[in-house]
Amino acid sequence: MNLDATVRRRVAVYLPGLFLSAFLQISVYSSSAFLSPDFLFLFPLMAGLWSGGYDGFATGLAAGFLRDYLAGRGYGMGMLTGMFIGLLAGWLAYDDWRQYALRGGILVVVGTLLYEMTLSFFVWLFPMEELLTPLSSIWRVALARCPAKLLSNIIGALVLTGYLSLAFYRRKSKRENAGKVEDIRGGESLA
Amino acid sequence: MKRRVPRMMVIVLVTVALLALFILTALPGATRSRIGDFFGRVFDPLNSAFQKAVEGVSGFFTAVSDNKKLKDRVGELEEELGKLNREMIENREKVKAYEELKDALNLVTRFDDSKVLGSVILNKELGSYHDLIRIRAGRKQGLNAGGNISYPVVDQHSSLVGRVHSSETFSSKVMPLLHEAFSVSARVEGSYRSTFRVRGDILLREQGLCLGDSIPEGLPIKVGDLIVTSGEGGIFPGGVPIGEVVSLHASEDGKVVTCAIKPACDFDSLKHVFVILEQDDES
Repeated sequence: MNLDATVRRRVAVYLPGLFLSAFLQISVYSSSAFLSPDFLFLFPLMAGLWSGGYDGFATGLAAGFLRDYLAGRGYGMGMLTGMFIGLLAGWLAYDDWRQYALRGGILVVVGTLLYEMTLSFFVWLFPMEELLTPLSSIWRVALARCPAKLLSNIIGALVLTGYLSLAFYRRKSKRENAGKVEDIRGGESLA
Repeated sequence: MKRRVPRMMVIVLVTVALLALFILTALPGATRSRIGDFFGRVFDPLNSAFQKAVEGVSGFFTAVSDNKKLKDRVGELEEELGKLNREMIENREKVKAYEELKDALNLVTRFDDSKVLGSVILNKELGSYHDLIRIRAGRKQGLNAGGNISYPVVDQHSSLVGRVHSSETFSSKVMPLLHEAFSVSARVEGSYRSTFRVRGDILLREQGLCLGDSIPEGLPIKVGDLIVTSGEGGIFPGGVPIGEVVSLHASEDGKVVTCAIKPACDFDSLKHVFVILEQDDES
């Protein structure tokens, strides 16, 4: 968790991270032999949870755009979904490892289900063909994919957590390590 | 310290803008291509470079492990080479004879009269809604798909892969055969009787199959039959293999109404595709 990194640093972490996520996703999705984490879904989620604020919102838009560009039926809906995923994660951001693990775990599970169902809903809402497939069938197929997807996404979330913790690594000062801040106002200590 | 959350007004404005963008790009034509053209100039070369780097790294490790095996194979292959050289001389004569015969009888081999454009797959489907394949061939290479214009796409064995959905400057999106919006007029190979439709189906796609429907009554079709394009749809040339019938489904009165087809194209190992650009109507 890093709620106070500078804008420049965040851009320097997120931009290559997003491109790398896209390239990785393309590579793993090309091979059905591997588990295939949805990095372009996970990146805004983890970024939002890590940094809070506009980070999830912005990375969600960017990741959604990449998805739309790579394999989307049009532009906009992938970005919209990514943006809301990032917002949801941003609202849950909290500067504590235990909370990060707890909230992150729940968010990956709930987010994966929500994301799959929402995109499947868009398939039904904006059909490309004349024959309409019932929403129940589309959702049934999406739900059937979910267990494998969840497992992949949990692994992907761990990978991204590793990336973010390395990228936002900050050496603690001696004062922070000691776990106390000295009173510099002089006179007797307030403690 | 907790950073400020985005304001509601910003979220609403961006949402409205994205919905407008979706409507604009859903219309056949302009905006989708412009966005893709602009972004593709930066992203596609990076993507290609990354894929080449990955292939290079994996190729290096494969090369090291295969080196020993290769040494043994070289000896065997040298023996075979002598044998093949003799066969080649014989085959040269056969090819010459075939070409003479082809000219004499005016034979046309598959896609002889078409311009075929080879292309690399940049990425496959990414999931629901993001279910198109991107290939490295676009308007610069002569593809102008979009709206009512489309091109057939086949694999290295001339089996049907799908059709080009939309084109940008350097890349295009391909709608695969298994996509629920894909459909093609088909017939059983060797039979010139009635045609039927082959299309993608959401439920069958999970099993790697597509659906044959609108099968006319009395059409002789059985499990194991090879299904090929009929050439009647306007986009696809006739005789392109689609796949093999794996099951037949009958209505209550026993008439075959649908069949499940296993595509001839192996989508899992698909790396290169061929776009059939134009056809000579006289053929």
